[in-house]
Amino acid sequence: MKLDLDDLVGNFEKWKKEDPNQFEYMKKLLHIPFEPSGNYSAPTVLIYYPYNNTNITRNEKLKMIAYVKNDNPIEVRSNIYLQLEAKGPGEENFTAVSSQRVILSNEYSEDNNASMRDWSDITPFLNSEETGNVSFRIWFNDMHNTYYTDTMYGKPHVSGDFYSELNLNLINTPPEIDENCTNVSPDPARYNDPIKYEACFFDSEGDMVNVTLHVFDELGNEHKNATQIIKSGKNVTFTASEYGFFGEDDAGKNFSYSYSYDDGLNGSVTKNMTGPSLLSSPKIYVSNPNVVPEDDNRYWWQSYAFSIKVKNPELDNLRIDLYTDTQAHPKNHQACQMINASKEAEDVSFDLKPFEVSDANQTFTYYFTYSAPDQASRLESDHEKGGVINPRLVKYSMDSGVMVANYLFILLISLVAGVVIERRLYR
Amino acid sequence: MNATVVNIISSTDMLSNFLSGPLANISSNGFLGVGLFVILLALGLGLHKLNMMRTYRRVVSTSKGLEISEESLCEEMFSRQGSNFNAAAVSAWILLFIAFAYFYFLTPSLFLKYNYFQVPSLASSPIGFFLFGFLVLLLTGIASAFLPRVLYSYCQVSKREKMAIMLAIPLLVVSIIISVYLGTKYPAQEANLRAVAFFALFISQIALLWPVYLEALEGVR
Repeated sequence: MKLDLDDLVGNFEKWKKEDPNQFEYMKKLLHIPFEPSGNYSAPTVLIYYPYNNTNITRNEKLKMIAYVKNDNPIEVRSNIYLQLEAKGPGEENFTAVSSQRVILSNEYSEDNNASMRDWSDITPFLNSEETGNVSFRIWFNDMHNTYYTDTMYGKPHVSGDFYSELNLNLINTPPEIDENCTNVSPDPARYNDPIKYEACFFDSEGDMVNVTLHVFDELGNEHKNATQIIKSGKNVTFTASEYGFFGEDDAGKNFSYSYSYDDGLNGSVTKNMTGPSLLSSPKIYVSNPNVVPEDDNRYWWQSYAFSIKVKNPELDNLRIDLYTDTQAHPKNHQACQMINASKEAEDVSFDLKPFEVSDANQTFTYYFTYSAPDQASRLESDHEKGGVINPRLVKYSMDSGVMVANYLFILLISLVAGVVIERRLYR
Repeated sequence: MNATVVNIISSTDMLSNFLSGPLANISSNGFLGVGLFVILLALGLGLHKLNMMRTYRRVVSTSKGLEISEESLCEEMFSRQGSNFNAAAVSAWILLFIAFAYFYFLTPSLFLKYNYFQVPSLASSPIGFFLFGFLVLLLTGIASAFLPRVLYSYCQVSKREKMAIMLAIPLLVVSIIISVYLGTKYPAQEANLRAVAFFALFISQIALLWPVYLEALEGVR
């Protein structure tokens, strides 16, 4: 019966499954261990690190080279399997950092019986959360034994750029924020506006930056926060509506914010920055502020009719205040009116004498304030120009009864005083 | 007829030139005017004091060793001027100070920062002008009451001088009325009227102090 290879493999698989004990025994019978000749010596394996920088960063792409010198004759040499291992800051054990490399028995230089293998572009500490000393060693197997370069020699081997154990320093530079680049806009804004917080962070080592935006209310308590992980140098944008920072209840409040940011190792917090001020939701609609003087003379003693059209559909006891503004009397409160809710727009009028003599010859402006926000979320109207008040100071003409009485009385009193004084003091 | 008309026209021109010339310059300069008023007044009081001292020295030098005190000499020199004159003189001094205040401190024309209109509650009142004058009367009342006694009771005041002092009253009334008129017209300006008011005020002050100046002049002779 002819037994081909497929049949033999099939039988092995069947035996392994059906009678594992006998199968194991057969393996022992068939195993012929490799016995090195008497003058075999283990190869010398070292890390070759011909670079000056002993400080490395997490993102730095490293290149490690295994230097293997095998002085055994080629017929005695066996394959050598190499594995680079590293130990991060604070770690107790080495771990493999890349795939194995193999050196076959015929891959040595004829001049010095040496060969090299490298591991390029490795970042073994990319996720390290600590800084400090890091170590590299090589695990290798020469088909006879397994060795670790840090322990196989009696003492650590350091010669030139060759190391049995390579010790480097893992460092980190914290990320930074570009202060000129922080911004929240629009400010002021309505609560449902697309408010954006923008900032720019840099990490000199190119680490990813963990950015958390903290939004604070008027009392300084944290209102909301949100986090993004961004690439160094890229703008980070938090859109308030996306994160649900503000709701209708927040209208009319002033907020502030700060950023905390880190690269996984070191972090910092910015100072508190103001913004945004959320505008109150409109409750009333105002228009047509107007002033009509008593006549075109615009004397200071005359009446002026101020008015503004107000649509107030929902609020009772809405307070409307009138202010005038001159150089002599800035922000001069004149009067106030309370109005109740009404479906129709109404004219709120103030007919009064708002000025006094020191306002003469001055330009005046006027404005209204309201106890509820208008359509622009403001509590105050624009300052409207009212014109120039006539420079004339005295209301009464020379021949008016009032003025005649004024000077006649003073003349009369002077004359009478002369007589009285003469009688009292001169006799 | 023609000569009369020419004379009238030339007189009017001269008056006009006078009012709009140097008098207008002085009357429109607040500091100069107030300075002049104060100097005239101070000079009058100073000359009165000198007159009294000179009289005292002469009396002492001719008394042949008799001891005479200044007070007793003053008592001896005191002479009554008549009730009507005294009353008129007191009124004239009161009116002088009121006219002075109305002329310089009623409107911002001469002292922009120091005037009646800087007190808005007063200036806004219908009787503001009266109150302003009355306030001046109260402030200067003592001076007005005693100045005639001090200045006119120790020297000879002739009838002409008394007449001049009494005529100062209508002049001061004119000055006050013009100042009030200018106040009601402000910021409109009438330089000629202002000059007239100033002239009336100035002449009145001279008239009130003239007996003192005259006695000092005679003393020098």
